[in-house]
Amino acid sequence: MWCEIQDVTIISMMQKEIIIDYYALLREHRGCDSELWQTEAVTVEALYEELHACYSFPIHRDYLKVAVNDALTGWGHALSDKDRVVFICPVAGG
Amino acid sequence: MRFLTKTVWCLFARWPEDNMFLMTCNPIVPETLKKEVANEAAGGFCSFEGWVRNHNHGRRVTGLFYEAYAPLAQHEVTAIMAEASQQWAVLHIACAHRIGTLSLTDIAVWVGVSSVHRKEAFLACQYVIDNVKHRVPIWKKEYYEDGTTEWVHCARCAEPPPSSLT
Repeated sequence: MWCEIQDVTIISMMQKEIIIDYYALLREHRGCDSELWQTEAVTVEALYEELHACYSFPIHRDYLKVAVNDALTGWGHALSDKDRVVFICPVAGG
Repeated sequence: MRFLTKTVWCLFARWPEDNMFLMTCNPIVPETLKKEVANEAAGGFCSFEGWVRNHNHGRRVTGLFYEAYAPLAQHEVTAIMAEASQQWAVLHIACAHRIGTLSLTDIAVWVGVSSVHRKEAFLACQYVIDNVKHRVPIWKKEYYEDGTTEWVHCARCAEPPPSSLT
């Protein structure tokens, strides 16, 4: 059991390829609507910090929501290889 | 460009039992959508239309651009309509949201509800539009008379919100 837990941790820290889709203000700021990102980030939060360090997003994290594979989730969500992530700016439909 | 591919499409989803959601680049036609909620058992019908107006917070608006995260938008609208159906005894709910570039007086969003009695139609209609506005991942960019643009609700979000500073 302990070995299984350790294996999961190691796998989580392995290199992953994440698909990041951008919308609205983040799309304009980034200059593209999607990109592939290689990362060892374990959580969505860690991924965001990596991206923010590179791109200096114009929206503070506290205003963002996050979706992984088209489902809303929390910042502690554990990433898997080939996950599709969207950081959601404040919405304004209607 | 992938962005154009993402935006130049229409999304239509219907659930056989009650509700319909349409996301479209084309002009919204209320009379067509009204038929989606028609029911001989309905004594009440309520609809809401969101129009593109020429002003917002003291600025002269010349047009809008809407962008949507389609899969999650569909999921959220589905959930909103289901919640409304659970709270009030309605027969059908239909919702349509336009994306892409809109001009003044265009219909940006349409919600229609049919029910046996009018009270439920009023309440469910308001619930749907109120929740579409603050839950669904659709973004609005305003174009102003002075040539500037702004993504609504995103302009002053670079700093942490005031509540997080305490």
